[in-house]
Amino acid sequence: MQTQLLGIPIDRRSRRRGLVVVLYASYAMLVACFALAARSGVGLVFAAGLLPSGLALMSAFWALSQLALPYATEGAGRKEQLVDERQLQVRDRAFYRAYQILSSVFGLWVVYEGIARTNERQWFWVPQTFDEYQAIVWGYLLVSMTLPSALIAWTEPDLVDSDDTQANELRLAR
Amino acid sequence: MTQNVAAKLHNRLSVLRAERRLTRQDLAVALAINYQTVGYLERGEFNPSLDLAMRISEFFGLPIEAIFSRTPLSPLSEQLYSSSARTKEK
Repeated sequence: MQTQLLGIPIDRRSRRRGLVVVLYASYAMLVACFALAARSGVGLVFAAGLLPSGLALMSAFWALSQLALPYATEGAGRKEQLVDERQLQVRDRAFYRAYQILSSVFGLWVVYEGIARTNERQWFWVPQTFDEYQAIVWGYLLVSMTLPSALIAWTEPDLVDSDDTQANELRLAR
Repeated sequence: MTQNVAAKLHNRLSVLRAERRLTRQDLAVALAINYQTVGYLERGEFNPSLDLAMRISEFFGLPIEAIFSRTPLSPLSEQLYSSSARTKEK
């Protein structure tokens, strides 16, 4: 895993978790802004919310993709990365967990929507408009693209190497 | 009853590395792995494959059982002096 992004250290798990929160929170904010803009006009909402949340979303998406780059396999136009057997295990576990989560969420959604649509008293919320469906579909796409990286960023421990001091001493001793 | 197949593997990697005055980065380069993985190996948080264990064994010029064990390893110095004392007694 990368320890720096544009000179910003991301070796601490708390920072990487912050990045994951920013990614999904900015998407939620973007959806809220679109909903608000649809009701009360685009101008002010765009300046106040749509632009910053869109930028935050794109930045967090890019940062998360960079963060997990060493876990990518060779090819796809990337430089050869050193991916050892532990990193491959971590990556495979993250993809497996992401698949489990996404398929479970999809299955639960199908069941929920089936119940909600047949419920005559309309106790449950279901998307009605095209915009609501768009928000759900794009959200699902975003999560499916980023979840493995987000899981790695969320679960990998601090990358601060306790050996660093000793390494410096050894270098000085040589 | 199922057995815990991923039981912790004890090792002497940190001692061997320190003896040879190597950094984690040096060892990682020699073994063609990421330097963070060396840390995971030393702390016993990751069990190496047979291939990696053999590469480590070749690098240090020691048998695998001298580096890895399923039971906690005693200090090398203790083993060395107890074996030399036994030799003297003979």
